[in-house]
Amino acid sequence: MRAAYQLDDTDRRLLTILQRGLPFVSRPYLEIARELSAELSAESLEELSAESSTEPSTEPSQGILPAAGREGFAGSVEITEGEVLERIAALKEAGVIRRLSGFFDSGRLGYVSALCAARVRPEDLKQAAAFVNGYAGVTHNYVREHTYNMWFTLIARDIRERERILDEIEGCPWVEQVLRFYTRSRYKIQVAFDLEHRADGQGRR
Amino acid sequence: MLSEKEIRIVGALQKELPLEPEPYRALAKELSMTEEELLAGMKALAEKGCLKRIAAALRHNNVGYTINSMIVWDVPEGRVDEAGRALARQPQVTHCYDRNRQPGFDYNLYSMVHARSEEEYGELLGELIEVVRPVKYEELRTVAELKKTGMRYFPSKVEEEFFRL
Repeated sequence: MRAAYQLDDTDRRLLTILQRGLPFVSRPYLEIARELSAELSAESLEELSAESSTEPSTEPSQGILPAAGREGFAGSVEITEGEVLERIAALKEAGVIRRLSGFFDSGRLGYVSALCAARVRPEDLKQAAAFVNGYAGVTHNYVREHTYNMWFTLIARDIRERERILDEIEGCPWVEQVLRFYTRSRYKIQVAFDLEHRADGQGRR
Repeated sequence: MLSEKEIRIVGALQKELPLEPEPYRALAKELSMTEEELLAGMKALAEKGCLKRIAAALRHNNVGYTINSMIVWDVPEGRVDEAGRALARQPQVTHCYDRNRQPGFDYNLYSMVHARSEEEYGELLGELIEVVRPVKYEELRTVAELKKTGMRYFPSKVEEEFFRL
């Protein structure tokens, strides 16, 4: 496992924007750069005015970010489209961003899904995982602390295909039993991971 | 039903969005359509609820959320909506579903919970128990991630040969 990547304030804000979604416009990264610049400038101005009220003599260009390549009057922070692209590339490279692509509602596309719990003997986990993961429709698979120790999600083109796959998994030599759970109501699928706020949700770090 | 053109757009949007100033122009070129056509198609798919967004998915572990736990709750059927909505309001709960019970696994409410430390997790669990007031609950900590990927919808004939469906 890689060490945790050190995110700076700009990365955190960028990730919040990227998790919510990119605009459907010709130059989405440019639009994000403008949004980021506006946010950071607003914060920088706040900090400057807070500083100047207590310590009137500080140099005005000490923003919250290293000033590399940035210009403008005190308190204005300019993030370019190029920098947004560079930061996204770095965050992908570091494994912070797993993917940047379309998110779909599988039901609206006509697909069906299930959450499944398999009971697997510990010595068979490796082979069971290889078998289960071999299905394209298995999108998530985790080992959990429980008698039902392997939990996976399955998306399939229709109910018949879904049940056929689950029967095959249940019939394979490394899986003892598969429980099938279907969605009755969906209360939440979180869009964005909160990187800007403390764990208790009270204000910025 | 989606048109053949919409299916091709869905296919293209499942790939990594190009990291260049005009990413949709690049995708449109691959699809042999204009950028305007692609953007209009995306908007139409979004209006139908098919396309939720073009966005980044993060690796939780790499942003400090090292504790990932599925907490399952047995809640009386009459209160499941109330408890589900209460769980959904908690920022550290990322997924929450009402599902069918099964013999051997008698729970109806499912929540995925993420925390950055044992202390934070313990406090959170205490709060959740107060909010949900379950008959019983179980924590199923994530021990290992065996697979995590986006779904490949509408694979091409060639791709289908490589997939086990």
